[in-house]
Amino acid sequence: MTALTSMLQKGERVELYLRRLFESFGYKKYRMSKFENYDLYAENKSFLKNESIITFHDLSGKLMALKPDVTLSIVKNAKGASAEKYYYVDKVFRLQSQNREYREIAQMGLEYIGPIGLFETAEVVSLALESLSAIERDYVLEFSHMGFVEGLLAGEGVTGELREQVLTALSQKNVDEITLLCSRAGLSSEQVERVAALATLGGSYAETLAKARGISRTLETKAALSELGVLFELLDELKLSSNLRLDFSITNSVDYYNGLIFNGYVEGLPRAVLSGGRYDNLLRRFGRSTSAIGFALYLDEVERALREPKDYDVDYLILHEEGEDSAGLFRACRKLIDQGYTVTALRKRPEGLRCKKICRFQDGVLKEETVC
Amino acid sequence: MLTIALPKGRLGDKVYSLFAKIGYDCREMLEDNRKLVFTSEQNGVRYLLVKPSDVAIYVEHGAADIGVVGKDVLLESEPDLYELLDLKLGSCHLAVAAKNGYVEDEESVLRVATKYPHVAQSYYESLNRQIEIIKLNGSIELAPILGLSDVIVDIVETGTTLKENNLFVMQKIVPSSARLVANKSSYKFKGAMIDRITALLKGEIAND
Repeated sequence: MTALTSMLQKGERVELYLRRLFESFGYKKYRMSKFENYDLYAENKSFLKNESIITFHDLSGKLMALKPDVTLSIVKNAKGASAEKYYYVDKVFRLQSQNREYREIAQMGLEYIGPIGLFETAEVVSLALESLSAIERDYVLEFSHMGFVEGLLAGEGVTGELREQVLTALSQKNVDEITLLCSRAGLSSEQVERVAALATLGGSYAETLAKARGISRTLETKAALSELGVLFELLDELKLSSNLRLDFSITNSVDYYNGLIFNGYVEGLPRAVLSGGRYDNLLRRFGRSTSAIGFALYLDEVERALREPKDYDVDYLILHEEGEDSAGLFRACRKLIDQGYTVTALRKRPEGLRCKKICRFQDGVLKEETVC
Repeated sequence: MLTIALPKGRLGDKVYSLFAKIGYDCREMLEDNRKLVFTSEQNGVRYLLVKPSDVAIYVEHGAADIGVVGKDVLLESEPDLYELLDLKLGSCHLAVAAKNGYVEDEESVLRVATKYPHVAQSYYESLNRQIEIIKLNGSIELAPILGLSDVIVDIVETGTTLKENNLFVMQKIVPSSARLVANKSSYKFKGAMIDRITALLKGEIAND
């Protein structure tokens, strides 16, 4: 079996490893078709990071979409009364903002839908941490809490259009812009300072939590911080806290996430490879009163980093002529393959093929030729 | 090692001297050569000199950890970055300009020549004004003179170029200046050094 997995690229091994990990925690694989009713995405546009979707009409004239997301479908179909635990490995179709083209993107994700307490949160977070550590030794999982961010903004009177603008500037840690926006809107200098502090509140969990308590003034923000505090204590007790950070500038899809949100980064990759959080708001939209938490792992980003360059396409190239002893050639190839080599038998050497050794099969024997 | 992308040209020179003042000098930079990458092992930094409009791309894709780029470029391409500091260098405005004596005809579709199609589009969208974008890559001032467009949307620093070409500023859209930006992932792993540089630069600007 080890010989078999050694064939795989590291990205594929990570995927298999994580599938086993998720299954052993009782998560079931969720399978969905490539298409979904367009209405689902039209009604939940703000949940999708990018609104552009590939659509087409099916034979009955219904507008369908190539799925840009899996979570929405899982939530739509999760109707059970008890907790539901799913993971998925799937392709989604999204517009790349850089070159304005659609791309098929490999994604892996995990969703927990049901009543959520400290244990469930810690389980999902621990799986997110383990996913990151499977990719790269140096990784960071950073947390924010929408209850804290929204509570603080509302408490200082940052609402409506100003809130949108401040959230955008916040996601860029743009202190100058936040200061400008808030003072222009007539906030007092202490208020401006507290809002702008959000952008710089980041770093080690314990230290940042203490600083955040300094600007927390409402019940909502206090509740959010105590939730973060309790979670951290538990993760610390489980020896899972060394790669955790707090950063209140995270603002992924604020309309859907409530409570905890998080992003995962690994050293050497320029973008977040994991993102997730608590999304009870999305379930409300589907008329469910229960909670949900989950994350997605961007496999295509990961695979790019994990791709191991190969020096050779094949170990042995065996050249042979028409009319040679076919059974002997087959046995010669098989013998090398059984020794663990890769072998290709061809009449002529293809251009650009990189091989370790070239052999010629002639008169029933294999003779090594000089290496290219 | 922290990789810093700087815009080639006058602004880049000014920014480099700021970095040198706060202790991140790189002797190689001062040598007159055609190199594009300059390393100072001693200070733990590497400078890249790239086209001003490409700085954000280098940083967003992680080829550089931090960089200095005009706000105009950030507004146009909206990259996913941290914008840590306004360096208050290269101050200018994105503005609408037209030929002297031009009066806007509200009835017809406005033809706008620009290097900033995204900025122009969203500005006129906010005014509910229908426009036709003519994307140019340089010498924008020529467009209204030759009747290629009605107006231009471009950066205006002192307005001298406009005046020399018989143009005037109709509306200022938004101010722009050089910004210190950082790759989001780099910030997670090299945050301490980036924060240090940000703080030192901030102090240096305040002193000026």
